[in-house]
Amino acid sequence: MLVRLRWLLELATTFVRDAVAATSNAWNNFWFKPADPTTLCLIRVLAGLMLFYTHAVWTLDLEAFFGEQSWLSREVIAQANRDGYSWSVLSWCRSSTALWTMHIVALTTFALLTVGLWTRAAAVLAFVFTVSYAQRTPGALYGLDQVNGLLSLYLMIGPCGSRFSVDAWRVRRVARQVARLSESSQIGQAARLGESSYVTANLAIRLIQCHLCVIYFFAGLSKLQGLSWWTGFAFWGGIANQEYQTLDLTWLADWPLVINALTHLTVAFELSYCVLIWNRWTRPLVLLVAVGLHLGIVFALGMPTFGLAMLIANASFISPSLIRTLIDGPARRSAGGPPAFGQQTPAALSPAAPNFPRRRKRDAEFHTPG
Amino acid sequence: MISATAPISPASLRPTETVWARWPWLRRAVSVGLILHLLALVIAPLAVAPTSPLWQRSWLAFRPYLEGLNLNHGYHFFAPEPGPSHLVRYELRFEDGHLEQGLFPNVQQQPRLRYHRHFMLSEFLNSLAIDDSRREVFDAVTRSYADHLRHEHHAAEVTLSLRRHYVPGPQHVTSGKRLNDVSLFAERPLGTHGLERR
Repeated sequence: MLVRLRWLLELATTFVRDAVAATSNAWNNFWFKPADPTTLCLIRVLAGLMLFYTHAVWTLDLEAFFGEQSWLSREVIAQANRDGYSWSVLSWCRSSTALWTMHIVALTTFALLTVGLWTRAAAVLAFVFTVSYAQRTPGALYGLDQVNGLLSLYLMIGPCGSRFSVDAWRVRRVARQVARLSESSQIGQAARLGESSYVTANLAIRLIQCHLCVIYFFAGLSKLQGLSWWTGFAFWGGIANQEYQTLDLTWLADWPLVINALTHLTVAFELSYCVLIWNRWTRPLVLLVAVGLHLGIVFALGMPTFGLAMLIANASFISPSLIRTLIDGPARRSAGGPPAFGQQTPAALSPAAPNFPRRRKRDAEFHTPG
Repeated sequence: MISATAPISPASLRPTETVWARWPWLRRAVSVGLILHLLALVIAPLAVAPTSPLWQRSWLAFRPYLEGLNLNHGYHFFAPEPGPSHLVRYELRFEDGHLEQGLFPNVQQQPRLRYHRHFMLSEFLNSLAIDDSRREVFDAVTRSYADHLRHEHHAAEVTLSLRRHYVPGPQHVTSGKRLNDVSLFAERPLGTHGLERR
């Protein structure tokens, strides 16, 4: 009896130990496995453009939204946020000159983030400005600002300037000069830089992906409280709303079953996104539906910026290799073979990654004199 | 099309080979941070009414983090119902006695994002109007809108109304009703605001 009990105990202990080890490995592989930053860098360019445009539009009504006589005065914001923790650097601007100066600095920051110059600092500042604009005028916000906020938050984490950026071009140029002087020191530095960068690239991309899953899931879950999402006519409520609509789809009134299907598809898509997006076979279909849904928002519901921002966030699920193929392939072909702009980060030159044959090949191309 | 985080290294590359493995405490600390962060992301929409005391209390614990990082969102897009939209109609009275009327948002505003910002202002006012617990903030926001309009147009007085625009059903549209039919509008007076300074 005692032997049997001991055997059972050992079995249970082994099971728990294996389960913990498997979970720990899965966790580490999910979050801490080094990853190619190409996707993150593409998101930086697109999100940078979106941030720049979003904030450039504020220029048309800067004082009306953020000035002393704004729609929502500073006092009202303070009253609404009496016990809260919102903050905004724009609340420091007590004069028109200070406000415009801050705005120009913010737009410059978003431009720097887009082109990838001093990217790390620009990413941190871009987040500060994105939050500041949003929290200074909370009454004028919608989904776009939420997506802008999450993108700017996670871009701070990863090496989003390591490709498609002026920074990458500068690093490549310096590396080329250093390589001529001392190959070994360059290699050592490259190895150190590259290794940690890839883990943070993974972290940033994973955070965007998980955040997107939370957004879709709760967007779907909250719809389950509404009767029209069950009766199948909620979709109509969007397309027949004159304040939203930019494309007249009211002819669908003659096709109620189509309206029902689109309503139910929306809820099904939003609820299942967080599950189906992780499977390699269903992911392309999920992304295809996401593109359809958000292009619908772009063209029919009059929210092109929100639709595009969601698509930018969805780009986090696109493989870096696909992006490399699409962007670097034509670039290399048109350049007659040399690596594409921003391709050669220090890590790419590193022999510390002996299992990266493509990179080593490019390394060889890089060292080719002339 | 595979995951964006497909490693550039082969599957055999273990975490112990990364710089993170040299400081295991760093990975553990980041893991704890990630769990808390994900928990915060989920609690924010869970705490939106109707909700339970558990989510409300959890939200209070995460509130500084959520508000500090601008992550305090419910993600209730067009939910629970798409519902009607709201506009603000205003009537300006000038020192010489003449009157002017206006409405925001104005669909003529370009670019579209600019229009949408103004649209959200009127929707924000409605969200406060239907929430009795925020009556004080509603009054302050109404007053702030009025002050802004008075200042913008150099008017002496402004009278505001919240205009609700209902969406006709498909059966109404097929029977010939237009989206801007006068029967689809309802108004709620928000009072007249004069020269009193904020």
